[in-house]
Amino acid sequence: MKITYPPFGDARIAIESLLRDLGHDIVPPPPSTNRTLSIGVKYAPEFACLPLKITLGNYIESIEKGADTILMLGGIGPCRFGYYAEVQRRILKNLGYDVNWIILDLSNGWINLFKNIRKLINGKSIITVVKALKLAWKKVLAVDEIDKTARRARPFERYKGQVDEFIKEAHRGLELAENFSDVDMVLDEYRERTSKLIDSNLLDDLVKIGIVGEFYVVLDHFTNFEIARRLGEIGVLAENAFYIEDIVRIYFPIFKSKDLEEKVKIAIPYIKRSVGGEGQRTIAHTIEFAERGFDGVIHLLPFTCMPEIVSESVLERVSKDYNIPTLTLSIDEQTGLVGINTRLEAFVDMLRAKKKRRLAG
Amino acid sequence: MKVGIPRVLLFYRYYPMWKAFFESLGVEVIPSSITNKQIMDASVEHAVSEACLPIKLAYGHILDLKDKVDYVFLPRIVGLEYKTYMCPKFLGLPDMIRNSEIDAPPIIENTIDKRNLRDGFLRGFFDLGRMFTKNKSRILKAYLEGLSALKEYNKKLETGASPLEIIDGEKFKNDDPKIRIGIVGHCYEIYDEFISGGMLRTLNKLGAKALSMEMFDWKTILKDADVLPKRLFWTFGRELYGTARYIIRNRLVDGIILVVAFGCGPDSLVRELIERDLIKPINFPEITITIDEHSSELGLVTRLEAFIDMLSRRKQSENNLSTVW
Repeated sequence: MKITYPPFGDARIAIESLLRDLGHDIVPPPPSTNRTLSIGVKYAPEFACLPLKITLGNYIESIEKGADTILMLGGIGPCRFGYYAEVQRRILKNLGYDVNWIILDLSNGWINLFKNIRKLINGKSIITVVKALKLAWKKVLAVDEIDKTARRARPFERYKGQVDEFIKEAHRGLELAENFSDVDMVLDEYRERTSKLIDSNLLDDLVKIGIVGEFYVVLDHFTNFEIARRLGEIGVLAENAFYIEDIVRIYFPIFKSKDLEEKVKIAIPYIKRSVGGEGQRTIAHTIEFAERGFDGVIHLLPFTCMPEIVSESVLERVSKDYNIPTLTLSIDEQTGLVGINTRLEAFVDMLRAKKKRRLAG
Repeated sequence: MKVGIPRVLLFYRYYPMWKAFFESLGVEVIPSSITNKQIMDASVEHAVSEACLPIKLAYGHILDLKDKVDYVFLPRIVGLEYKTYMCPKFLGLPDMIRNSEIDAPPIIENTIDKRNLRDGFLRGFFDLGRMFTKNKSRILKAYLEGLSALKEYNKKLETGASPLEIIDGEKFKNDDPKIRIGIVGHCYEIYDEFISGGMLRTLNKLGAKALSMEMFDWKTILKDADVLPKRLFWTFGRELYGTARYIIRNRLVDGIILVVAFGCGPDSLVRELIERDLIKPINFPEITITIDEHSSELGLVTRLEAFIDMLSRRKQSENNLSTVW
């Protein structure tokens, strides 16, 4: 069994670590490229949302590299993500790829879920499983920290791409790390290198932008055109509303945390109940960023994303009520880098002028 | 008191029930006008450009009711079936309208949630009734009257009458159709003749009988969708898949028209399932018609004529269908 999985931003490092520690033979998905996207677009339903297309491309590229089993999640709606695996399964089958699926999904009952989990556990002892899980979780926290720090460091880098070099090295270190102290070592070195760059006196003068929206687009660097890097390079501190840790906490029932649920309540005057996906949270995050004094918010969504259309419709009112400028970027296979860059630059220029005016009195 | 009901989304499915319910409580019911250019333009102006046309139309229809009514009835419909959702935009529609720039009468946005509560329907109507009267038995009476109106309406539909004939008094000729066509789509796309480009009227003129989900027993249709290895979690998705399977399996029609709104999330996947599972394996005659604000009646008529010509020729040379799965 050669197992592969959709690469989801930096989470790929943690997934890879978990599966490897459980003794699986894995085929890490090749990093998403334009080829991945065009494969996905070619075979996926025309009006499906972008993550379905990209992950389909990822599978096919992994299968070309020898994978024969795909690990994927399912869901109970109302967001389309819950039905991805079913559609992708059919497409791959009709294309003649003979692959097995391990779909972690509650909608077919606990028994099915346990069966699939057992396949993943691969006959390992509980101690091994717990150890593997702990290390994977540690790596999730590590990649999140790396990402968060990079966002603060980028505006100060000496030359373009300096921080990305640090990240690349740290990620390579994490891929190789076999225990907690390896991870800590990688992190220590990364912290030291980035802290030399960050000038904390100047941090407050930077234009600050919060990024909210649908989780795949917000967290997958390929899908969002590396928006964090682009913003960092033009001297903006771009913070995400959530990182991989938060997504795991939100979507895996065992990790459910109270204060994440509390935080959503702030959105209730605008969206009264959850509309699936990140719909309601997007509004909560926007309000939170406004209250923290951010200069603007960028709202990312895959084109035609249903929950995010609800939040997009409401966002204008929130923007007025909390006096925070917002920019909605809806991304699909037609979106071009130049278009994104132009809009980002215009938005940042506007925020900068506004900030200057405010500071001047 | 006057309550306005926008002629969008589930209107052609539940209007008789809502009307009977409100009238039993002594509330006057006013439906919005049939979609026209003015409504369409207002909708496109006020709604987010990415939303699907049926959702956008809610804006225009609510504006159409302005100055005519005291309240607009726009329930938040979470689910019509246990453990099954509506599209997220249905869940958020009242929020979208409330937070938009349109100057609309206040909205009655009570929740109807059969997804989480088995008695969600009854509860939804009780909450609704409480806005008009404190007398519980009056609400119950209104609810029962609503239900019987709905039953009667559904019975008429099952005889093959179109909602347009029953509610809007449209006259379709019914003399011995030469071709029968299954229309697989949502009620708010098929029965809004403005956005569908007059599909039903055109089919009728061409001598074809249009069959849609409303004309079959709902439960039977849904049972046909249960064959899917993973249960679809959208009621609409289940209806589309079930209808398509039911009418193909029982050979009730000569061809299928799939009607899809541009940007419809659930349909983008459900359509793929229908095509891959039901249509391609036996090459069943099918065309897909996409609805958006640029649909033109002329383009549609050309396509429908070609499709019906094709079906008639196919019918002449019999033995046309391979066996079902």
